[in-house]
Amino acid sequence: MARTDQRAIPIALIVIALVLVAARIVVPLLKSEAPQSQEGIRWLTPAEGLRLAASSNKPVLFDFTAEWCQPCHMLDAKVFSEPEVAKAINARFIAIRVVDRRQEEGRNTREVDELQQRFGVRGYPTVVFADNTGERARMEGFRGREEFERVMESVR
Amino acid sequence: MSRVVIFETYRRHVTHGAYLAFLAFLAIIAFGTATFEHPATGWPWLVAILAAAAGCGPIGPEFSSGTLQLILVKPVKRWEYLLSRVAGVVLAVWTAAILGAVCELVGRAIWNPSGGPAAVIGRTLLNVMIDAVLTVSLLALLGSITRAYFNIGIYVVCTIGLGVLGGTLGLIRQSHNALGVFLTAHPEIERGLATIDQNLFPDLPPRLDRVWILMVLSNAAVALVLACLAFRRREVPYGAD
Repeated sequence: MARTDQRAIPIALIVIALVLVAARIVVPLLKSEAPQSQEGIRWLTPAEGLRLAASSNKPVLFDFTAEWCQPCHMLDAKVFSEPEVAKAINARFIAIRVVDRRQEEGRNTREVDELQQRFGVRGYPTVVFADNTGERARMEGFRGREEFERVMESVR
Repeated sequence: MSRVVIFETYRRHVTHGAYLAFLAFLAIIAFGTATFEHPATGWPWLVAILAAAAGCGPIGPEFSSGTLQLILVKPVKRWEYLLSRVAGVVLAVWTAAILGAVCELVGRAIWNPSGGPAAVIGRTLLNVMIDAVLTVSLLALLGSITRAYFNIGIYVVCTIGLGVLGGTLGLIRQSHNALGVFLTAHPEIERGLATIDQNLFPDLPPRLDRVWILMVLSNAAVALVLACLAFRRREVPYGAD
């Protein structure tokens, strides 16, 4: 085999790689443009959520999060954005998102500080399930969808 | 690709004592962890270790041992040789992954005859197999531009280093000094680092995620293209290092 043949360029592999890269770019776009048959989680602010919780028998799901927190974004992308998870949360809980803004703004609102103190939040993400008797379950850190669902199912 | 190279690579793995001992260990772990509540917790990380250990073999070490020079006098295109070696290694890793899944399924059938999470184990198996393709491809790329076992060295340093760097930047950001303020004002730095980490060393998703699969396979394909192009241009000197 000639030297030039031995050093041939893998055209087929390059084509396959280009197709895969194109599919990788296009598929998420199609996914986001597809009509959503199921809505996402109806997140409420602490003020809105606590007001609603006072007049409801539903337990509350508190998502303690922060903009800079990478595991929080993973929790959003891999758990909360799942239609089945969102549907279950909307049906069973009042979902309150408690966003820590100390890094960005130097301080939090009073509601956020109070909720963090009340539930002893030590890091992010922390998901707390609570009802009028107090805390029922919690998940600290990003531990995947199955663990989240297991913790959520423990709140009955 | 060259069937001879694929088969020979696979044969050399499955007849190697260390590989067989590792398979036995993996089978025991998979069987033992079948008693755990959460499925597929025991063997996937062992398969990841095997992928790294077996994947570092092609090109770099052959370059240093001098065997590559002998191989390249054969009528085989360089890219064919590289891809065939990668395919053989991937097959050997897949064999271990399948063994792990089967042992866990058998274990769960024995401990819990009423039924087990076969679907979860099946999904994990597929994700582990796809992830192994990326690991071996990255190591082939690193092997095509380095000598000896520098490829696994760089791989391990990057795996650990990216995680440590991300954690360190997080701590610095919270320190409220000038660098912390800068990192807070530019969260894209940490996000970019996390994206690189997730692309090169992805965590296994808990289900079949086509976006994740496409990410891993496209990254593996790009790594292989780069590996083939680097290997194509590489001059292979006579003799060993």
